[in-house]
Amino acid sequence: MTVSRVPRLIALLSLFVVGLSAPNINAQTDPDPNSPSPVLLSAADDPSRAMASKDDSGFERLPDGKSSAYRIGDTIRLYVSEVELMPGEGASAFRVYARDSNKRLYRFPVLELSEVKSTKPVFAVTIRIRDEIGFWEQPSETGDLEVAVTWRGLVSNPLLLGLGRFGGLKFEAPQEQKTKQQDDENLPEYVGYRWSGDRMRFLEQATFGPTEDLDHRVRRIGLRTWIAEQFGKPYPSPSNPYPNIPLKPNNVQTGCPDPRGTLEYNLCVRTHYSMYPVQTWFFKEAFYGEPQLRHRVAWALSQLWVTSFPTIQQSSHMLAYHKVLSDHAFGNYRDLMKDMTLNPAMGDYLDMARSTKNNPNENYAREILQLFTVGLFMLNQDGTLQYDENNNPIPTYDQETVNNFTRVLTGWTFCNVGCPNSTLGAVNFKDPLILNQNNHDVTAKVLLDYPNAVNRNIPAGLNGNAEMDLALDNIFYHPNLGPFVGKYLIQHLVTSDPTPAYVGRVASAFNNNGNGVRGDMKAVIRAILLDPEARGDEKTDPNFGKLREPVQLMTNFYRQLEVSSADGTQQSDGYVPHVAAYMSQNPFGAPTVFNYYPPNYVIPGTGLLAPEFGLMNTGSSIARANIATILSFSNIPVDNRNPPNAPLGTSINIDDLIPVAQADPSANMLMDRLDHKFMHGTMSAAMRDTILQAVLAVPAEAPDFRVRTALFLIASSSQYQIQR
Amino acid sequence: MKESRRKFIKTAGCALGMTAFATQVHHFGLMTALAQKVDGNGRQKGSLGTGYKALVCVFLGGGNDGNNMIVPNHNSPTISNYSVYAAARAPQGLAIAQNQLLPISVPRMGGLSYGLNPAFGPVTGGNNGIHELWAQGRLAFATNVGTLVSPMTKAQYQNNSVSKPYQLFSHLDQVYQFHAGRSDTFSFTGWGGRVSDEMTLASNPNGLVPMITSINGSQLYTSGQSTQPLAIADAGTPLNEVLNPIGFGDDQISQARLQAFNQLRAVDRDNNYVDAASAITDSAIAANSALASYQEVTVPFPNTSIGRQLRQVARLIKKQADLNVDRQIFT
Repeated sequence: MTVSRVPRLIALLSLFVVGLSAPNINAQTDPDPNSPSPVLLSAADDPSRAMASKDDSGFERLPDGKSSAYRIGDTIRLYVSEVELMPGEGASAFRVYARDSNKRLYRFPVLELSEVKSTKPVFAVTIRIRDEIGFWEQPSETGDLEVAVTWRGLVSNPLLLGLGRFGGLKFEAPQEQKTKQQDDENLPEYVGYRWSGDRMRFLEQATFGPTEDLDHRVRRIGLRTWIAEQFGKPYPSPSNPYPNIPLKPNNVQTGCPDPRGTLEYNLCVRTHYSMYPVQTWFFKEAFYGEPQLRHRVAWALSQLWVTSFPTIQQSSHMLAYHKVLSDHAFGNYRDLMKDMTLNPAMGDYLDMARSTKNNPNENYAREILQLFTVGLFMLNQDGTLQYDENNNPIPTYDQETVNNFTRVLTGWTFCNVGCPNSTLGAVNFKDPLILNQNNHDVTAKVLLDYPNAVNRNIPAGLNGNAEMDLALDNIFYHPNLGPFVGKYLIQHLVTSDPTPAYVGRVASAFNNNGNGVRGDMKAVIRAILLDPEARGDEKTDPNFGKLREPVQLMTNFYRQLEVSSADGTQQSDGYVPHVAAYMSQNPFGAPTVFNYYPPNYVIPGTGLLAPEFGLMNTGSSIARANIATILSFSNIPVDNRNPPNAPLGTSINIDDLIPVAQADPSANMLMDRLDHKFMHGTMSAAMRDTILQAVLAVPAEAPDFRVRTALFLIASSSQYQIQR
Repeated sequence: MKESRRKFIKTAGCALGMTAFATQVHHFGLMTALAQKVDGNGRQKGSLGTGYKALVCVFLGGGNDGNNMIVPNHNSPTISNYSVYAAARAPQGLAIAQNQLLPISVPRMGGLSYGLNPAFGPVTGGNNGIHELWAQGRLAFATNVGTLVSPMTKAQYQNNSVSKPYQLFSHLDQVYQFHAGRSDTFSFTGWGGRVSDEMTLASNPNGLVPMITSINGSQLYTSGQSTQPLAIADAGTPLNEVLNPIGFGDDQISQARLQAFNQLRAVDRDNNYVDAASAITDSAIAANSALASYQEVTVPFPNTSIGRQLRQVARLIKKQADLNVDRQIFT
């Protein structure tokens, strides 16, 4: 159990003007998002076994020998057909998974991909039989493994591969692995994006939840145009501006004078010294805002560049910090780095605002390197680790480097006098930190080293402001940045464990947006959302997807059901942060700078990368089910506190589902509708039948309760809680 | 306090290599079953060690000024004494006045007097604090410990002749290493979880609840290869409600819904994330049945976060016979 935590430390900014092209209604039609499913070829002598050959047996053509068993460490080839590669796509786009008779999961490294001469396109996938996940010991050489190849989120048919010898696994002929393709065929010409399943998937990745309106918009203008449209939308929504809250003294008694318990006092504390205004503003924007994509990316960035209540004491402080994130969500990462380094909330949270040459504090210097930009180890451009000759990962920097960055970042503090928002008696958490050169360490520094390192050596005697820019460039041009940031954002938007090929494509967009610009977030976001690994009506790869974090679980459900006030007459007041907190994610209140969950969290028992599972345990899994019950059958009521936290309350609206339930006593129409809405058409027959039984237990005369029963079962199901 | 228990605490804190660590765990008696299983000397498997034992781990997140927790309270000229302490801290106003220290006599130091931080003393309106436990032989300190691959001296640190902990200056990694019980590399499992892996079969034969429990979310410490913790809320929630899904009545409609809720977890498990989420919920629902009844503890606990956490632990300990588990780990 954890008794207390000491969080650490802070920031700043510049406006990046977004050049936007007017959305074109006659937009280009997006290409078919569906990749074919790979087919693993079986051995000539046994259709249940994978066709395989040892590395040295020649690979110009398909092997014709009998199937045989292999050993740990062997390099062999498997053969796949039905894949169509794009330029640059190769071995890193493929993964080979295996399970043994204990159902333990292994992954074998794919070393090479080469085309084989054959009547149809076939690729030889060279693998080494040696697990690379590392959760379990290597599989024992005592019988068959079940192997399958995955590519772009799609899995091949599984086949047996003998390890040591044959036998030990009962092979069940796989079901046809056909993905559902949901082409709305008879649509008029102007339709921009006809794939109805992928539209919903796309909106789950790019927003806080699909709505009918958004679905229609994307169908009409297509993904690319919709993204461009989002890039140009004002943020926040004009109807939901950032709350304008003045700075207050750090001492609550001074900021909100007694008598306590009065309405005035309570309002003062809630407005200034709690996250209430930030949280309700945040959820209103998530529920109703037009600039969904920017809101979503800023939310993801807030879990990378973390600050949190209660160390960040006032709502005004947190709002100034959030503005930095949203200003640069579609800007350049370099500008985000600078403005966040000078942001007072970050400066307070990680102590840079108190770091001076005589009393330096390394908190921020350490975390900007470790958590926000380059990470601990040297990465390949596809996000995989680089290793030295002894097979150890190569540290990106050492303690000396941290010490040197610490000295660069000395001398900044709050601008309490003379800046636009300077307020007598309060610390200025709104304007960027300012430099006091007298407190700045002016000795020479040696920074990050990497091939063609930029500004590695900082000479003595420079002005701090100039030095900060040199040092941030030294970080910004580090080759780790693209894969580090790219993989992080993929994990937040699309899937927990992307292939190296996917990470590599996004990193390449980070490195160069096509016009020679590095760090262009728009290019990165486009690359993430339009990648073939992200797109398609259905993903069958058993290791594709991510657990919806509590905030997303809640907002998706609400938005898909026309979230409104408790009485259904107007918009919600946004007071739902306690709902997320009940599921262990208190918005703007992460436990530490390490966020609610670490990006490298793995699911115990599997070794699978799954950051959000850091919040998933017996207690929180029941909390999720309980929230599904509350949201489906009840609402967040208007409260009668003084003042009320929920003046309007929050509710789902099922008015358009009730007629669907009424129209069909068999409830099949209802299930069709909900399948599309929540599962983008991928609900299995087993899931559907199970839900139907419970729905049909409710009398047809109670269509409202039938709908709510089905909604609860979907919302509480693992099938829905995993975004795929 | 038995010497073996002191040894265990010392070893656990010092993070020896895992082989040595397991041996020490054996001394503690916690791993009786494990020791019997791995004993290479032909010793017969016997029954479990008698008597219930629980290990309760309180992990303090963040930093601690350990040198202000236990302060030399003596004037011995040969080892660091109070004046050395005071001289180092007085200029910053960080020294605790000698007359405020809560004295303890330390047998291992030849009966020298040390002083605990006054915060370990009586709590206003509460108990006497943990200071009094020392004289009763119910308190031990493991000092000068940290995440180490193996013991090292300052000279060895400086000349790099001994392996340093993995990512020594990364706060997060050092926390993980305390959880993992190893410092040479990243670990998927924690030492509590590994002990649980080895002992579950013998010590928790019915498996009604996992033998390891966390009162504050899942922690690396609680993760083994095959066992996962019971993670529940603190005593603010009654034990029979911590994992109880709300909203189901006895009526037929509710029961059909509950049945479907449970049945949904049995299908579509080909996706590994779906499978993992369903497995966790399965474990919660199973534990919920086992926790349907419990006896309230009579010992008073303060109504603080740590008080409520420990109280929930006490409720589970009280239920051990019921659950047929004779070794439990709590964190």
